Amino acid sequence: MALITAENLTKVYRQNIKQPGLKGALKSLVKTEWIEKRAVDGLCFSMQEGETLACIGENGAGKSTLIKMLVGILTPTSGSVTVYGQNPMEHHADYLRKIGVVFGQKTGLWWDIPVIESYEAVKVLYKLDPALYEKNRRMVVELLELEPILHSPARRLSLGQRMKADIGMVFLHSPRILYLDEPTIGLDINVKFTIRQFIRRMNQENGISVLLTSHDLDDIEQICDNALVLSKGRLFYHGALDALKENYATARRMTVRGKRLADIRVLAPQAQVLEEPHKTVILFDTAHCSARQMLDFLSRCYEIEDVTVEDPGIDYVVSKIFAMGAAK
Amino acid sequence: MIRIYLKFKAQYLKTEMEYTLNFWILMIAGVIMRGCMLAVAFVLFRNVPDIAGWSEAEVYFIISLLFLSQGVCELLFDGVWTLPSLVFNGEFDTMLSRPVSPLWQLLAHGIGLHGLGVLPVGLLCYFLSLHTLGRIRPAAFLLLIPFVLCGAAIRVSAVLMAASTVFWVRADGFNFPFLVHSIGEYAKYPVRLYPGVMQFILLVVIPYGFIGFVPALILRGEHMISLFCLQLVFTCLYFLAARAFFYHGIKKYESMGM
Repeated sequence: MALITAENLTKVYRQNIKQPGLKGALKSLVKTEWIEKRAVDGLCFSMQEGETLACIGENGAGKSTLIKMLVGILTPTSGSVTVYGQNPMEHHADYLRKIGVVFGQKTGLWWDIPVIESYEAVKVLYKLDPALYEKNRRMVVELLELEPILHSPARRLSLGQRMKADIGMVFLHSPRILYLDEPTIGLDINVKFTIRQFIRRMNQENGISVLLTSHDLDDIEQICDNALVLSKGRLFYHGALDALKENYATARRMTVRGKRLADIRVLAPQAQVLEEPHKTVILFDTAHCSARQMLDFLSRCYEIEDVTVEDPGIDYVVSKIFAMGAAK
Repeated sequence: MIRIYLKFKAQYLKTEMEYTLNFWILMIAGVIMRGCMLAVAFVLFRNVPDIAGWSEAEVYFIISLLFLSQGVCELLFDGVWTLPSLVFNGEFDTMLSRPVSPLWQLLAHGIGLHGLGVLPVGLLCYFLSLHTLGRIRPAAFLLLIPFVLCGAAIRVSAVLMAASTVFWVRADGFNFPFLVHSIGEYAKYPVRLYPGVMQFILLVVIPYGFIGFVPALILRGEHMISLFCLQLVFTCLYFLAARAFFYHGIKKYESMGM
């Protein structure tokens, strides 16, 4: 059975529109106009135990709303979602004990007390077995390098330190599912690296399922195998991340150095060719011409000294998808 | 449950202790504010012998129970007041993602140390008024606990209901709990003095009348047993209503952002 199943999941927010200015404010006292905003619209998907799923989408695509519905913070307007065969909205303590939630913009730590005290509070809150708590605490302290900050209050920590402490905290109760809403927002590259490596390791060693939203595409590529692409609340793509890249990242960029013998445009009319002083850059789409074929053309037109092939990465894929979504 | 509650309170106590000056200011402010409230009643009774048949000591008795229940609430259940701000800054999300009932977490949240300043004033007032009335008996000691607990439950429930409106209203800087609290404070005088509508409000809608006025009736010996039972039953029902309203509100919770 699937770990998470969403059927026709929809969340509509009602916002009242205020006219600008004093007159508008007075008018809204008498008559309130409402606008409906479909944050998540008819979403169907499922996720298996042990899967690492990245939720990708532009700002306001409904990623956070989705996570909040999965945790049980928001009630869906219509449709259903079940996790472990249960509705998360019922606030079952057993369900909440199985999950770990990190919101990158907030902290679960108590602001004024040392990190270690927050950890002790979690021990009581989740009724943890002392041996298990001790084992998990040692593990997170070691892997996330928390030792130097354990005795500082959360308010004295840098953003990166606080995030590491926050992530460490959700692993104290050995969660089975991890929901991460932009866990690396605003962090420097070292901290990002530590966090990604840690999450990947927890997934591989302990089989923890991970559902992650991020605007950092390196996070996505390094943590997740699968992707769920949302655009304006609707499902755009659900499947393997590699397949997503294959389907949408069909552009390639080849850079050649060497003496030019003939014009390549004759052989590959659809490619874009940029001549630069010491090299030539060729942009093409694998839908029209395979990389191998292009290499063949190049060897006929140049005395090749050096050639590089680059794929444009997930950034390009996502911007392409968003552009397509906007055009629809 | 109790362990979680105590652990939380201990955390917030440690937090408060980080700011010692703040602690002393709150403490002193607590005592001074209660002193002022008593002074008003004191001046009043220098000019009139009684208010509609209620003597000075009886009014102090009512006020003492209002103080004591408030002190207990601030010390133990100050969290209900913070619900609107928790909702606005999104911290309520964290509460909903932890395996403990949200209401219990809310009650365990925060600690109002000025409650410590209110309690001794309340106790002093309680026993002085009983002494003046010549009613210091074992029953007075025994009844103090249910009176204060019922009073605290009424306060928590009224504030919880007022604070839960944040799930529907969602307006920033909105202080409905304080409005409810201020109206409730009118119950520091015998509720019978007020016109009918106000009596209805203070005995049913925001039933702060049950905190001090009803115990004062019991003290007078009017239908002692039945009134005492009514007080217990009504407090329970009122709390359950507030709890139901809060949980209904959670279903309407829209969190922050998308």
